[in-house]
Amino acid sequence: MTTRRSPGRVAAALAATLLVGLVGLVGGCAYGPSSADTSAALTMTAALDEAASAVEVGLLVVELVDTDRTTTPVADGTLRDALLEVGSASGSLADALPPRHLQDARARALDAVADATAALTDARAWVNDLAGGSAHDLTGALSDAADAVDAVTADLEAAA
Amino acid sequence: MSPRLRRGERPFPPDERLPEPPRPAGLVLDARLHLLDRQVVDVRGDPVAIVDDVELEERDGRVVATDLLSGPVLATRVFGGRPPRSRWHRVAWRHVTEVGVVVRLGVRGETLDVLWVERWLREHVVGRVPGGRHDPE
Amino acid sequence: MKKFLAVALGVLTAIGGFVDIGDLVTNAVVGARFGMSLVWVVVVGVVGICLFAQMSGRVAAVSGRATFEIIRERLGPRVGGANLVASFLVTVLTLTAEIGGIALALELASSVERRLWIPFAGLAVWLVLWRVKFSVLENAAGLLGLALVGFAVALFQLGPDWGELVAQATRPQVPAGEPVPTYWYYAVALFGAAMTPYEVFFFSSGAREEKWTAKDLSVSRANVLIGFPLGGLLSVAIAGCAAVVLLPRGIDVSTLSEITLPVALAGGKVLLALVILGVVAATFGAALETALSTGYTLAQFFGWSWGKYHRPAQAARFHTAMAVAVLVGTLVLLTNVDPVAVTEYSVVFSAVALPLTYLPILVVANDREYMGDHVNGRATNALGLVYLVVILVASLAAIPLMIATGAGG
Repeated sequence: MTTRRSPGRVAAALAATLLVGLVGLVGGCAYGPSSADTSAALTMTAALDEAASAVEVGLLVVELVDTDRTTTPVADGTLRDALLEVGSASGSLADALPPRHLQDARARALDAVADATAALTDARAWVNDLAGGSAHDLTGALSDAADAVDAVTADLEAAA
Repeated sequence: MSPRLRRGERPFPPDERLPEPPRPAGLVLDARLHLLDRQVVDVRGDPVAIVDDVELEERDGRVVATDLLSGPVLATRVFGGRPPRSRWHRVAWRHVTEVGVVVRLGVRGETLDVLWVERWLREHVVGRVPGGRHDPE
Repeated sequence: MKKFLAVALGVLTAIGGFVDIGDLVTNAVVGARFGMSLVWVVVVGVVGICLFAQMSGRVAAVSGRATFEIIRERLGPRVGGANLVASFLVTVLTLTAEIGGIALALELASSVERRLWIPFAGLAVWLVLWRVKFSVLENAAGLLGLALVGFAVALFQLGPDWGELVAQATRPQVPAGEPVPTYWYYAVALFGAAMTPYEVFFFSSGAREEKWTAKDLSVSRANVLIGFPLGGLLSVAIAGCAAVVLLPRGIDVSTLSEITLPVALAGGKVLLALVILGVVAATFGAALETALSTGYTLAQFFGWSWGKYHRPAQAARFHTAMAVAVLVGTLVLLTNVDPVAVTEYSVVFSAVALPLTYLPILVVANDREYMGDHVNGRATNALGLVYLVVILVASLAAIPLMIATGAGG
């Protein structure tokens, strides 16, 4: 079967495939974000989106526990995952090196994410019956954290 | 331009009778089509190996198939080269009883070198783990 | 009556066995970000897998040989070898994702950490492969996997605006705020999740395990043509739950716990327990299938004796290969890699490997020497060729899209 084809044709086919692959690779890379400024703002908004998502998860879990629609292991596991997400968001923000005019925004972003982390840890303690508090208080704290995150995100999108 | 040859241009007469092909006794096989990459099964129908290559030998001016080869020859068949003779896993041609969709042998697979990995694993690994020699339930 | 029961069992097993961790994660991720606007990809994928699974089952039933055996015979060792390497690597990656999925679901149900469940899951998968009969293993995993219908129940109980869901599904458009390449990246991922390469080899080898003949073709056709689309509906239900509950809240799916949130919201603890059971069963079943597929493809390419119907001692290389594959998957997971990330990569690489695994089936199903009168009809071939183009496009676009969008970020 393959011995019928001349080696020249096989080599040509291989070269063509490699070329197509290379073009695809380069094209893919070229499309991505290039400028450093927009890159920093994008990284920070992505991290803030991650934190906002985790806070929303926390709000939903508190509601589910309050209405007795979920079990403690599941609620605890979900909040643990959410805490991993805010941790990762905080890490991305700390790692980013935005330009001068975005440094203040980055500091506020870190504060907002820290608020979110505190609210989620409180919620997790409450779910595991290791701390007092009510669903109402926790929902308030989480909502405040969500608002703070949204505010910084809006500022970053306006500045970019 | 039409590719059809005009009547006057044909290099052969249209009603020419072609000679009959030779019809020797026995089965005519195309090695690449009927032998290579075929499953080899033993006399009981259990799979033995796949024909990765065929060893040919010249005897009295004719080329004769002496063995079916399996194993390391597959890599060299795809990429080129030839492993040393000591590494060839042979199934002797004289054991072959039938060549059809699969190549059938007249001997039990247990007696063949080609299955040594299977036997080794059976004795030393699979057979030693509990439950290995029992039917699944 | 007996035949009706056989068909019913087959259909139910096909529905329960359709969803694996790749479908679960990808549909939820897509539903939470794009709503119902990628449901058309699920439809395309389901039609494709029905077409090719049916073809490969027919090949095995009529010719008495599993598809991969014929691929090497007909297309030679180079094409067969390339096919083997591609499908083997992707299937081992998928196996790793499935074992990870078992551990994730068990972690969710208990409070025991995932890393402790991983060796347990790997050992359980191997034990079942070692001792349990093929038909028992297929039927049990498939029937228990039906518990995933809890997602459909949850969607109904959430009482969404059906008109809007249907409108989003039938008039797909890229949602505002999401870049177009990301939309297409997830389309390719969803396609790879629906048309898994291992499925066709498993299906044809399974036909040999259960010793199907041409007489069983109608049962096989019913299983595929009724079971798989209903399984596809389950996938759509998972996406719908995510679209209705997670999308409005801006929750991005990256963990199994987030996928179960809509179910808890809709049906409370009972439905949640049912769905978690379904996830364990479906991923366990898929882990068994992918492990068996690695064994089948290797054994059929090299001519080893294979099959669950043999006792392990009579198919030593087959069982050793599977045990090694399960071990490799377990060890990779023990490095604390995120199983959901592994799943997301496995579906994209499934899409990349699709042409190498599907094209040979189309060639073999048309071969009169093996199929006799049961070769593909003209309609099947036409549809098969259309799908071949779709598969090639998806496969070529997958890696550039992955790089351009940063794996969907």
